[in-house]
Amino acid sequence: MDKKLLLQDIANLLAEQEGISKRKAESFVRAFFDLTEEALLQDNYVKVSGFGTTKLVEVSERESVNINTGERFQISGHTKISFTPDNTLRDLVNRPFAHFTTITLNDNTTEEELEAVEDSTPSAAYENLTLSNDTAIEAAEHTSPTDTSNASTQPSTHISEETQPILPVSHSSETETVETSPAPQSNSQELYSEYAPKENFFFKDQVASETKERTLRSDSDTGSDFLSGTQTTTPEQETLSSPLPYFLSSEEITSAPTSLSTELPPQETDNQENNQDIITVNTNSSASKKTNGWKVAFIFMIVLHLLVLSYFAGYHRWFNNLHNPQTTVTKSHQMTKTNLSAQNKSSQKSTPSYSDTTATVSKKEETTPASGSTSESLSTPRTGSKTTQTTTEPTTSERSQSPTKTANKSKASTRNSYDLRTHYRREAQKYQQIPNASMVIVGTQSIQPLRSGENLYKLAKRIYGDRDFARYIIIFNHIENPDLISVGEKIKIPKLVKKTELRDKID
Amino acid sequence: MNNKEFIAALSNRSETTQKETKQLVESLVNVIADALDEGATISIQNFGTFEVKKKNERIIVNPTTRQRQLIPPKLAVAFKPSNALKEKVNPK
Repeated sequence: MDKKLLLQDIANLLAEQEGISKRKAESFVRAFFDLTEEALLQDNYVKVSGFGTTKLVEVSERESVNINTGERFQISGHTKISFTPDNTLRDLVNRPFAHFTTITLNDNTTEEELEAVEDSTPSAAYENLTLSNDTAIEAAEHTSPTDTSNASTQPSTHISEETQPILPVSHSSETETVETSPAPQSNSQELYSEYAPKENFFFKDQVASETKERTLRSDSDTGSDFLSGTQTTTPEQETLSSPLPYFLSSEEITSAPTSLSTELPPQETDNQENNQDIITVNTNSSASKKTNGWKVAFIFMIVLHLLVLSYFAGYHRWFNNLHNPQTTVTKSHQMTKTNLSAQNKSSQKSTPSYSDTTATVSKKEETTPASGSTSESLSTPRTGSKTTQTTTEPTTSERSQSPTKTANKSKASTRNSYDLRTHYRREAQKYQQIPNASMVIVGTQSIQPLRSGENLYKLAKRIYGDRDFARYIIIFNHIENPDLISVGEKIKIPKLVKKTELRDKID
Repeated sequence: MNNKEFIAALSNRSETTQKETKQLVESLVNVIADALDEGATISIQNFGTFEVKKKNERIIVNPTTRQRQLIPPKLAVAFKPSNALKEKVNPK
């Protein structure tokens, strides 16, 4: 299909069809296009019946913005060549898709759903097509073997049909799930990973409702609690298809990782009612297979549970007090570093606001110790080092913690970023800024001596990865002539923040 | 320049009658159309490239009626002018 025909090939085909000499045909084809070109320049349009209209279109001058520096520049007016195929040619080429008609979508779909559909257009739109026009697409596949893309997307639509209904059922209130449900993938492993967001939502919900009043300890062994909770709260089995293996009792966790990868694909393709049966059957069979290593694994799991327990009980409080200040301290530390001696006052000014937030953050986390508001940085090495035998185990335990963590931390982070924004805004006022630029100078990042053979543009390329950013360096150092700089000259590198980040976000 | 004028000018140039020219043009258009239909790309030196491109399906919203419509995917002929032609069209 990637056949490329040149003028000579066309001429040969023409000679064959018309029974004329190849030379004559070639000169004719050449004349055809030469004349088209000349007529285009002369009359601004050429119309050849059966082929199409070639036109010159004036494009007026317009302004555009360099997305890196916010610099405005003019796109000068120019003439564009447009080709509109004749109706006969257009229809001939589009014949494989000719049976498609424009479908008016139902009114009862809400605006949010529309956005979701638009976000995942390739899958969702195809799904719409298949729903209303299923046989037609299959027909198209047969009639147009040339179109490989159609054929490749066809199998995926089946998956999307099966996965899509599952998600809305489990989170009918949250339209986001539709958006996050990625384009269907045929790979079984990817299907497996698809469950992650879904799982997150699920647990966020549950954590919000259940774990508010929970103490640390009761929460750390909610492994079984979760199971009972999920079974009672959600009668639809399909939501549990992925969380289930994680939060069965510990015996079944040991068998779950091995059967997980093989289990999930059948879950996808089979009906929802069958899911439960398949899971139990699979776990049972794999469990019976693994009876030999079962005891070892069981003991190991107990050890793991103890570890997790002690971790929650012992390190949680200690960690909250230590870690959160750490992150904010490092942030403010960075800022003080960047602001250096000149801006010492300002950084001192800003630090009180940080300590405020840290205080509130730690307070908040103490009052609401709903499960792990733990950072992955600590949990990963711990579980990772201990669980070398079962590789899937760390990921499961991590996953179960992450949703709760994000739910808990989101408030704190918004507050934190708000203070950061106000700080940046205050800083930004101190420096001369480039109007309309996408980045804002908020301080000094570092001081670089100019290397030999390096100009400001190369420096910008080295530091920021784009030579256009030299504008910021020039304005920051008040360099009048960017071409008149000497080797070894100390160049202050401005710290840049995206202007959009300084805006108040509407949450 | 419309079709008639085009054929007249072409017959002048190639020293064939207008009737013959018309026949040849039709035949040439058929050859090109067939080639495009097969999915081939036609590249003419110093003129440009004709090729078939697939346009994805999309959803449009009528701003006044809020009526949403799904536009089906389609195959369309696209022409990309060569740099030489572009420069001729945009004299500096």
